[in-house]
Amino acid sequence: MKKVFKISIAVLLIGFFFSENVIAQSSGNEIRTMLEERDEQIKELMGPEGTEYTDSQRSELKEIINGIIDFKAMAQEALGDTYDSITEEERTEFVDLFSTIVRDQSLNKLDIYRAQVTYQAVEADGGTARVETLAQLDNVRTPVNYEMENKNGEWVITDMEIDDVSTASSYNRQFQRIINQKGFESLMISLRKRAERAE
Amino acid sequence: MAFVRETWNYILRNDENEIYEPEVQFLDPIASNIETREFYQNAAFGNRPELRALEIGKEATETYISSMKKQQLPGLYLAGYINFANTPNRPRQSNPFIQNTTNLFSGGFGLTIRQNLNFFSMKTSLERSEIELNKVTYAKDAAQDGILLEVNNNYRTASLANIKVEQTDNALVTSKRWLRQEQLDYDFGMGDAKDLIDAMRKELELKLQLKQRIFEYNSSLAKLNKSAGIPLTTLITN
Repeated sequence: MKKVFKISIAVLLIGFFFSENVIAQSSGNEIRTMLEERDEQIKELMGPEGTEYTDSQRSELKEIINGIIDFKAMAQEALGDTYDSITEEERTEFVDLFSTIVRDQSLNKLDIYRAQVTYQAVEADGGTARVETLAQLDNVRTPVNYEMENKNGEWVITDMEIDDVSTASSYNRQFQRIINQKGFESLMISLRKRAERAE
Repeated sequence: MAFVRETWNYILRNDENEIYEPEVQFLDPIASNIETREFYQNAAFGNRPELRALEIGKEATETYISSMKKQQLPGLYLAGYINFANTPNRPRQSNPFIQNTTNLFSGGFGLTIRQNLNFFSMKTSLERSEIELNKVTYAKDAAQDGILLEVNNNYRTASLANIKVEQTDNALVTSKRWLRQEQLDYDFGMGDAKDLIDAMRKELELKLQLKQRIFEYNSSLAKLNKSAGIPLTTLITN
C-alpha cells in the first residue's frame, strides 16, 4: 500500500514538473510568435529603404511598435518610490506624459526597425518572461531584451533593455535626479514641455 | 575597413572582379571558458610532440642498453647427433665386424661456450649508451620545465586578458548608461551638448578598446591551447 502511495506521489511530481515545463515552453512559443508577428507587421508597413512616411503611416507604426508596451508598469518603475507618494490624478497625468514621450522617441530612428532580429532566449516563468534578441543592421549588432508580464491573458512589455541599458532604469535615474534637485512638480513641467513637442 | 579589405584581397590574390567576403563579420570572445591551470599542464605533458619524441628516444636508448647488457653474457651452444641404420633381411645382424651404412647405431654431442672478451670496449659502449640515456632524460626534464613555464605564462596572459575583457565590457555598459542619460537629458532640454559628445566619445573609445581586448583574449587563448598541445580546431568548433 505504501509502495503504491509512493509511486503515485512520484508520478504526480513528475507530471507536475512536466506540465510546468510544457506551460513554460508554450508561453515561450506564444511570446516569440507574437513578437515575430509584430516585427513582420512593422517591416511590412515600413516598406523599402528610403520610403517617405505619411502622418497616418507614422501613427500606425507608432501604434504597432508601442501597442504591446505596458506604459503604466514602465512609468511606475521609472518613477520608483515617488509613484506611491503622488495622488491618483498626478499618476494618471504622469503615465500619460511618459507614454507620449516614449512613443514619440520610438519613432526617432525608424531604420532600426529594419534590423534582422535573432531570438536568443525566451524564458517564461509563470506570469513573467524575459526575451533576449539580437538585432543586426548594417554590420552593427545590438542586443535588445524585453521584460514581459502576462496581464489578463495578454503578454505585455514592462521594460526594454536596448544595448544593455534598461529603458525604465534610465528614466528612473533621470527622474530621481530631477526630483532630488528640483522636486516632483519640476519633473512634471519638464515632461509636459517634452510631451508638447511630441504632439 | 577599406584598408583591411584591400589587404585581404591582396593576400588572397583574387581576380579583378572577384570579391571575398569574410564568413564571420563580428569579433566575439571565444565561447569556451578557460580551464584550470592543471588541465593545461596535463594536456601539455600528454600532447606535446617534443615530449613524446623524447620519451620514445628514452625508451629506445633503454632497450639498446638492455640488449648491450645481454651481449656481455656468455653464449652456450649444445649440439648432438644420432645415426641409426638397419637391414632386417641380412643374416647375422649381430656380427661385430660388419658395420657399414646399412647397419649402424651411433651418437654424439658437443657443447660450445662463446664469450666476447673485449670487456673494456663493451663497458665503454655501455657507459656511452648510459650517458645518452641520461642526456635524453635531462632533455626531457628540461623540455617539461620549459613547457610548464610556457603553459604557466600563457595561462597567466589568457586569464589576465579574460579579466580585461570583462572589465572593459563592464566599463562599456557603464558608458552606455551614461550616454543614454545624456541623450535623455538632451532630449528633455536639460543636458549639455558637450556632455553628450563626451559620453559618445567615451562609448566609442570603449567599444574599440573592447574589440582590442577581445582580440588579445582570443589570441592568448589560442596560444595557451597551442602550448598545451590542444588543436586550435577545438576552440573554433566550441
